Amino acid sequence: MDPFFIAASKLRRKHYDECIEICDQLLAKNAYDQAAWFLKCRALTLKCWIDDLEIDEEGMADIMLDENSTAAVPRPGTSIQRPNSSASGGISPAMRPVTRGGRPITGFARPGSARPTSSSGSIEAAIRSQTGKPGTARPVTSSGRYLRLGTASMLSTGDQFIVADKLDMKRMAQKQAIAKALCDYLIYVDHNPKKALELCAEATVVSGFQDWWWKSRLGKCYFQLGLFRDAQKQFESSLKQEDMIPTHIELSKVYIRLDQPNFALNQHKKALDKHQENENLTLALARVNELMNNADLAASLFKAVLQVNPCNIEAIASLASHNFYTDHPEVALRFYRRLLQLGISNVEIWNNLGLACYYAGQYDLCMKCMERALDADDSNGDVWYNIANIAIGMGELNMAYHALKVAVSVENTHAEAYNNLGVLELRKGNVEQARNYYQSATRIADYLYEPLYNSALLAFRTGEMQESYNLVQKALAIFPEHADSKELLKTLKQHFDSL
Amino acid sequence: MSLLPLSNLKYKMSVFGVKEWWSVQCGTEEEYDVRSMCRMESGNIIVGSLQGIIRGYKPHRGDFSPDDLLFESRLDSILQVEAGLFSHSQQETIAILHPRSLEVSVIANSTLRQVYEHKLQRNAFNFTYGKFGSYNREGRDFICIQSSDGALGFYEQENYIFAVQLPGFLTPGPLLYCPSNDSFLLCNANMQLECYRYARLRDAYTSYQQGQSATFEAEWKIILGEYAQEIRATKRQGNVDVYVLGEHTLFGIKINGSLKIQKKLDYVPSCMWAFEEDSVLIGSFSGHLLVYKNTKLLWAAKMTTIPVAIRVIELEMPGLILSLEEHGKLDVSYLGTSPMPYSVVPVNKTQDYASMDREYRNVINSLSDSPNKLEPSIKLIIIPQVPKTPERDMHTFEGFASDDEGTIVTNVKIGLKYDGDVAKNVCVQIEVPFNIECPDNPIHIEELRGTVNIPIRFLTKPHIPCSHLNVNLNATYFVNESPRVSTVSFRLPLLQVSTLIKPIKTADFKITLKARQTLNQLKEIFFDVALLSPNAITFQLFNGEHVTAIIGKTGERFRIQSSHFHTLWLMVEEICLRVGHEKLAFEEPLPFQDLFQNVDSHFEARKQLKDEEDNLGKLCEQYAAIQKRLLVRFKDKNPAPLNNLDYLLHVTHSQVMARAENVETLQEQLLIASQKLSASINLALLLLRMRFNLDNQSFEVLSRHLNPFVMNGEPGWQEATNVAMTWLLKSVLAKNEKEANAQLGNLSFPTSTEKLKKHITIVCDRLAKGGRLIRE
Repeated sequence: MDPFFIAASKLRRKHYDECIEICDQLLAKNAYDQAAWFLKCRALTLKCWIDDLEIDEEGMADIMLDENSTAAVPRPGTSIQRPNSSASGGISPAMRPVTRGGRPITGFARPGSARPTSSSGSIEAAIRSQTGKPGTARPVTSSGRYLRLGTASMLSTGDQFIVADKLDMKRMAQKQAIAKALCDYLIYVDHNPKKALELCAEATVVSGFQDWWWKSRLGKCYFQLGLFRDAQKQFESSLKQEDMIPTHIELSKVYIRLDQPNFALNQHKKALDKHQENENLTLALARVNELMNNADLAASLFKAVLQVNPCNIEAIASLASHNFYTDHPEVALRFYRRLLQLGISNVEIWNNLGLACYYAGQYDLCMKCMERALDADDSNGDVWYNIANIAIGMGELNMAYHALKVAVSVENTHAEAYNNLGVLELRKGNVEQARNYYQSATRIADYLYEPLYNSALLAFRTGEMQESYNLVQKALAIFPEHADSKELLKTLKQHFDSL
Repeated sequence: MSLLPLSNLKYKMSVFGVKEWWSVQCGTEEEYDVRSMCRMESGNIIVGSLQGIIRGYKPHRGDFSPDDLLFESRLDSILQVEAGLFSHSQQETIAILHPRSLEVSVIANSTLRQVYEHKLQRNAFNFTYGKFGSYNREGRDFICIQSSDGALGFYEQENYIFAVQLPGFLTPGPLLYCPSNDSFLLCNANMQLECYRYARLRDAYTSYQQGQSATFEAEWKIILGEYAQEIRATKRQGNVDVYVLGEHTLFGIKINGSLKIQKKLDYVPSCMWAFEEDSVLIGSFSGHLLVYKNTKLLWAAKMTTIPVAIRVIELEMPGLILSLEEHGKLDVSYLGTSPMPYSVVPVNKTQDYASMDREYRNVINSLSDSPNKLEPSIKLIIIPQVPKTPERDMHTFEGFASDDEGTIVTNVKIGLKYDGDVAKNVCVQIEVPFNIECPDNPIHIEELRGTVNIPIRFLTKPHIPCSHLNVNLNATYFVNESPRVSTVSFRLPLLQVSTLIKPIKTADFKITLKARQTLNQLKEIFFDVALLSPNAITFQLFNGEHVTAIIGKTGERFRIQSSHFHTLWLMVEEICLRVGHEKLAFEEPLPFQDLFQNVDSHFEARKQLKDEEDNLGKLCEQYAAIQKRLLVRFKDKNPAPLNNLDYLLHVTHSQVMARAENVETLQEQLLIASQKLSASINLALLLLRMRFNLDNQSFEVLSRHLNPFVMNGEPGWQEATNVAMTWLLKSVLAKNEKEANAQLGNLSFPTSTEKLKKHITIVCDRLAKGGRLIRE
């Protein structure tokens, strides 16, 4: 039996380690066996491959030292930093809670779906955003993320197969097939975009600038190095050659990084004109729309995705949460049931089902769902917070109080829980305690308007007019259309006028 | 209300499972790949394992019965099996590819009979078949074999026709004959799909035979950007002619070489089959079966196995799915609507409102009872045994205060005593002033039963002024899984931070403490110290500061004098502890001037540090800007001249480094300043206490507001103390309504300390006028 055939067959059947072993034996016999080298290189690459179209997580330093936005104070709707406000058809924070980055909550957790907005452009915000839980170590830059993804996988690959620094890229680029395998190895296994860039640059010359793949890889290397304008040029040039969907998506990722979401939207739309009903493009378009707070548009796009792929979990989950927050809990309930049918059973789904049941009036089911959510994970602050909300709805204030206490004990940065605790304490007449809770909520989450408004109201009632005025101004800065805050501000102004 | 976003779950995506129609396990410990299976027109299914065993089956609905096996025989390793008209007879034959031969056989009487065989010169990889060439009208299938080293060999039944070597070849890939334009489609190692016309290949061979150059080129090439796994032609005319399955994408291609469909798959595909027009069946490594029509997902079903080869076949009914698993599980199944073999695990408690209510009541009751019950009477007790004087250690610890005899070390013995059953995970944190170092911190004991004695050592950092000598020990431990804590504090001997020297009579800072009753003699007060003079004692600190106490001849007063204001504190505290502060009185005016000097110098240090940090920030920005510019130059094809940018980068770098070092020095200075301030505040508090006869409670309140613990964070001491003083004036010390409504200051970095000083003075004034810190 030809060992090369077995290695190729093992590779096809994704038995990477066995394939690598056979290739090692072949290479031990003949160190210049290009075919064996090629197979081993591919096996290693596939082993470490990650779908980098899907992950787009910005590192802390990337967010803090972001110098790519074109305008310091962009008009609303032209920047991810300043998405549409609720007045212009966006999502109202009164209806939909926000993530730790200050963005409306999405139905599907993806890296980057919780990018901070400009109002919180501080180090704390950058640290807090995304995962937000204290103690989660995150890489400082996004290339750090790639490296981090690398270190875990590196352990299993053992010794160094290719030493990138010793390669003569000019010579390697002559053999196109080997160069392509090597390029992917450098990007996905070695995480060395600098060397890969060198190779790509040589190889694209060898191919006479006619190979779109090299150009798109050049773009990818530039992207990983943070040179977005160069990446954009390469992707555009690659698209001229061959209209590939991944290139479109990568190009719009560049636009997102440059904080030009409208360009990204246009890019997706152009691509969709050519590739009708493409699932990946529609989904990517929907994500950008969601990032820009165009909730209705995003929802219709998610529906379009479901037309093509009825099993797309992201689309189902996003539609479910959209329906839930636009006051159609019964529709959301159907979507979540569909997810349950698809075989998903975890805290999130049971929690969401429970809430949807509650708001759809199916009170008998909601507590059972919540109990299941707790069975799955009883140290999730959000679940306890929601239980408290249901308890408040049922008039069980004592139970709500205890649930909130549990919520802050399992997750001590749960600002909404602190806020609600404050409200409950105030009902009991513990003014100082309530004020403290509001203050902790504000300290933890400067993107929430509720604790600010609550503190303002409390200050107003205790006669601290100036304090109240300051607080209500802050609340209105976060959520300018909040009717109660406006009302309070008006009363305060009348009060000041009469003095 | 807040919904939780679902996390990324991609592979669970089917509602239904496939229904089994017929199934068999082909051998054990055998391996199969994508080309190990074929189906004959007669409905027989042939599978040949890589280990070389070939089997024929004729499935019937229901369970497998031995009759379903047509034949089984052992050959050389089998790379591929295909059924077609490979012989001259009309009978359907099976072509079997071995590494070094191609065998064509027919099934006769439940055995495999060889019709002919081709020996191969090179290691074979795969083959394709079809009616090549325009002259081939008989309807016979010819064979094209791809070898591992990139040669295509052509065979017409028993005859070898010719072979060509592919240009630029590295590894073989999937191969397909396309009858509509009589060409071969090849997926090469360069991520390309190439199309070669049969006629061109033949012409090239002929010219080669005639001795001419035999170059031939592909009809067209397209770069797919992925390595192809499988290539299949559609059976009927549709939007696309050929489907190529990449590693993560499905491509649909017209025969003229245009890319019509790209569909990124969010799972790892294992095999593919094209059927009808524009319909594709894909098996995934997650064990799912997905049916697409025009890239629209029509059906997703869970399979029981992970297929490596898949077909849509017609047996007794159309639309059956034949799948082969890599270890030989051969299944015929169909898409049923039986739910997936997955169900939600039922919660095994019965729930009704009464029981839920009862459970809830129980929880509430246990919560309301808990605090009294849970606090145990048995606690971990810490007993520190502090020596009166420190010892000398000859051979340890560089860089700490020492004299001729060695490093000055206070050896404290700590007794940890737990009378209960067991205290687990005991951790003792030793909290020391900044100028003291404890190398044994922290202490950790896995399990504590009874009593344990642990020696700990304290050393002095000579260059940092001393703010106080108190050491706190905090022990945390677990009893029955619940955390507990106990604390104790003690004072280190004064000689740990100082040495006894001959009395110095002159000094800049002096205060006098009057005795309310006659004091003992100095040698009785300092009974543990060998006095060098009968009525005066001087301690010198390791940074050169000294402090002297002189007792009046008749024992009616103490005079304490020092080279520095803050150093007075150590002696005053020492004397107050030894004599008792109630026996002493302070009647001089409070030394505000000296106190404020320390406040100011601390503030100055803070300001300097802040300015320097700002400068460092600016320099870093400048550095990044230069770096960026350089980067732009370097990646340009035709870079502009550097214009001394490199020099600028170099200079900025050295400036950054210098500033950073500066910041470090300033941080050190700030620490020293805050130690001095801390000591001065302590002194001021003690003097206030003696001057105004504050009781313990009032003293406590005052020291909480005029905080002697100077922390160097944000907000800083000055602004925090200012607010605290304002608060005192606004609340307990307020004279009238107007003052009670005064605004509290904010906690931003102040521009000067004037306000703070004013407020401290006012507070002291009010205290002098009989103001009380505690409301009745």
